[in-house]
Parts: sequence; C-alpha cells; structure tokens
Amino acid sequence: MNVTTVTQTSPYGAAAVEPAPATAPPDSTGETELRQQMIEKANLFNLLFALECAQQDAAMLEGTSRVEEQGETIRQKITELQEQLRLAREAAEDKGFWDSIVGVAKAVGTVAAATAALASVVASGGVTAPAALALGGVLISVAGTEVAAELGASPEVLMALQLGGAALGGAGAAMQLFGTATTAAGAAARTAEQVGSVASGVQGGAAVVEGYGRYRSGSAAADGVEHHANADTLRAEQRRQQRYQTQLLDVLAAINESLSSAKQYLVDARNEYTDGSLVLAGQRA
Amino acid sequence: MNTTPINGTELAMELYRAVRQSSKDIEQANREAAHEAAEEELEQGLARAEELHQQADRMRTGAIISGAMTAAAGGVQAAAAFDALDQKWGKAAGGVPNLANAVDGFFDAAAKHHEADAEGHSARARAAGHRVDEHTSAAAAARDLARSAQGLARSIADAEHESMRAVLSQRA
Repeated sequence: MNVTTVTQTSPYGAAAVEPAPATAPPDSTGETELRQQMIEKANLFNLLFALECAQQDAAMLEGTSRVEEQGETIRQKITELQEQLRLAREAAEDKGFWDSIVGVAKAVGTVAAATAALASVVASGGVTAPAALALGGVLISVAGTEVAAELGASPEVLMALQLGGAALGGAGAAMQLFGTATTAAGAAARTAEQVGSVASGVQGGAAVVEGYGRYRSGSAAADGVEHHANADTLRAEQRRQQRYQTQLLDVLAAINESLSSAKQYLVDARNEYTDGSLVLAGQRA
Repeated sequence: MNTTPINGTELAMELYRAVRQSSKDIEQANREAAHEAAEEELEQGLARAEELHQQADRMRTGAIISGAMTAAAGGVQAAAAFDALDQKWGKAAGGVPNLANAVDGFFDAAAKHHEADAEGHSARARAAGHRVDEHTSAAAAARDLARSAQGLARSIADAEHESMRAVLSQRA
C-alpha cells in the first residue's frame, strides 16, 4: 500500500504533501510516476495558496490599520462636535442673559417715558399734583413691579412696590380731600419739569442699554447658529467617515470569508486526495 | 439515444459562476451607487452648514445695525433731556427704535430664508443617507445570493462525490 505523509510548511495552513518513501514497490502501470506528478502539482498548489494567503494577509493588515485610522478620526470629530455643542449652549445662555437685560431696559424705558409724559402734562398745568401722585402710584404698582420681576426681585420686594404705589395714590387722594392741592400746585409744576427731564434722560439711557443688549443678544444668537453650523459640518464629515469605515469593514469581512473558504476547499481537496488514494489502494489490495 | 451522463458538479459550477458573476455586478453597481449617495449626503450636509453660516451672518448684521440705531437714539434722547441737544432731536430720536425694529425684522427675514434653505439641504442629505442604506443592503443581499449559490454548488458536488465513492467502495 502506498502511503503519503502531510507536513505543515506555512503559518497559513498550506501543507506540503511529501512523496511516499522509496520502500513502496514500483508497479508496471507507471502509477508511481503518476502519483509523483500529482504530488508535485499538489505542492505547487500549496505554495500558490501560501502566497495568496500572504498577500491577503497583508491586505487585511493594511485594511485593519486604515480602519483604526478612521476610528481615530471619527473620535476626534466627535470631540470637536461636543466642543461646538458646548459653545452653542454657552451662546444660548449668553443670549438669555442679554435678552433679560433688554427686557429690563425696555420696561425702565416705558416707565420713564410714561413718567416724562405725565411730568410734562403736570408742568404745563394740565393735571393737578394730587392727580399726578395718584397716576404715579398706579405706574409704580404696575410697571415698577414688572421691572422688579424682570430683575428677579423677591416676592417681598414686589409686594413693597405695590404697597408703595398704593400709598402714593392714597397720598394724592388725601391731598385733594384736605385742600392742600392749591398751595402745592406751583411747587409741583417746577418739580414736574425737573422730573420730566430726569425721566427723559433715564428713557434715553435705557434705550442705550437696550440697544447694546440687542446687539449682544443678537450676536450671541448668531454665535449659537455658527456653532450649530460648525457642528453640522463635523457631523456630516463624521457620518461620511463612518460610512467609509463600514464599507472598509465589509470588504475586510469579505476578504476574510473568501480566505476561509479557500482554506477549507484546500483542506477538503487534500482529504479527498487522501481518501481517494485509500480507496484505490483498497481496490489494488 | 444520448447516454452521456450529466456531470452534476460541472453543471453546479456553471450555475454558480453565472450567479456569482451577476451578483458581483449587482453588488458593484450598488456599491458605486452607495458611494455616490454618501458623497451627496456629505455635500448636502456641508451646504446646510453653509446656509446656517449665512443665517448667522444676517442675524449678526441685523443685531449690530438695530442695536446701534437703538443705542444712538437713546444717546440723543438723553442728551436732549439734559439740554445738550435741541429738544427736536430728542423727539426725532423717539421714533428711531421703531425703525430699528423694522431693520431687525428685515434681517431676521433674510436669516429665516437661509434657515429654510438649510432645512432643504438637510432633507436632501437625509434622503441621500437613506439611499446609501438601501444600496448597501442591496449589495449585501447580492453577496448573500452568491454565497447561497456557492453553498448549493458545493452540496451538489458533495452529493455527486459521495455517490461516486459509494460506487467505488462497492466495486472494491
């Protein structure tokens, strides 16, 4: 019976089939020569397979390093993305702060405008001092509390403003009742004129603050949109990198699968060869 | 009468080659389509970001102009109140904040226009992303088909081989 031995010659599983020892008797049909040729062919195939394995292995290695590079780039993009989102959040907080300043400035401006208008009427003798006091009381209790609320005042302060407004209104009413209105009219007109000037000045100042606040608020909003735009750019690039990485992984998986199949076919072919030899040997026996 | 036996293995291999070639073509076409769609997704994403930058520019310009107008008007009003300027300037400045609001509204509308364009790009990017997914799935399905054909060819070859071996064993 003819015997073959199989030895491993490469780390990729390629095996070299060695010829049977010379102890086997030669036959008249030239079977030994035929076997020798088959073995040489098998060895050649094994060498080719080993070469193919080495090439595929190199491709796998290169592909793996590229996947790792992609992973590093993606991680970097995610970090930058998080930074942009953090800046966008800060810009939103900044905008909120400046919006509240604009709100306060608007409220102060409104109160100042109303005060200036009232003072102007009082100064020109259109409204008596008690009536002006009563109107001022209403302004303080309504608009004043609004301003204080914008500034984040406590409920006690808001209550005090309402009470103060009510007291002013009450004083105006008392002045009318006890006839002190006539004597106070002259002084009130002069005071109203000064109050009017101050109120106009305050209104102007409030408008300056409001204008600056609008600029800062608008800039903060624009910054927020800028940061979101940067985040979108990064997100788009990151998504592209991820898709590329997925494609690369697919290709690597396909190479790996193909390599495994090729290996399996080689092993099967070798087994078939061995089994076939055994069957033939059995027939001869 | 033709008595030549049909070689099952050869037939299976032919079948496998045909299926493999066509599925390879389908897979390649889908991979290329997925690649193009992914490029479009990136392009639309970048276009969206560009539109958002434009929106931010309009917002910033609007904020600068309207803020400057409001602040300047306030300055004039304050100056007029303390007699540093003529009263008529103070009265004239009183109407400026409304004008500033109108200017702000104009730039806000321009910003909204860019925002709408950005949303359009975003929708197109999403659509391109879906196309990428679809083509990737189709490519995977084509690969699976080739794998199934390979498995089938292998089964046929194995079956034929087994029968041949059985015949040889019987003869032995």
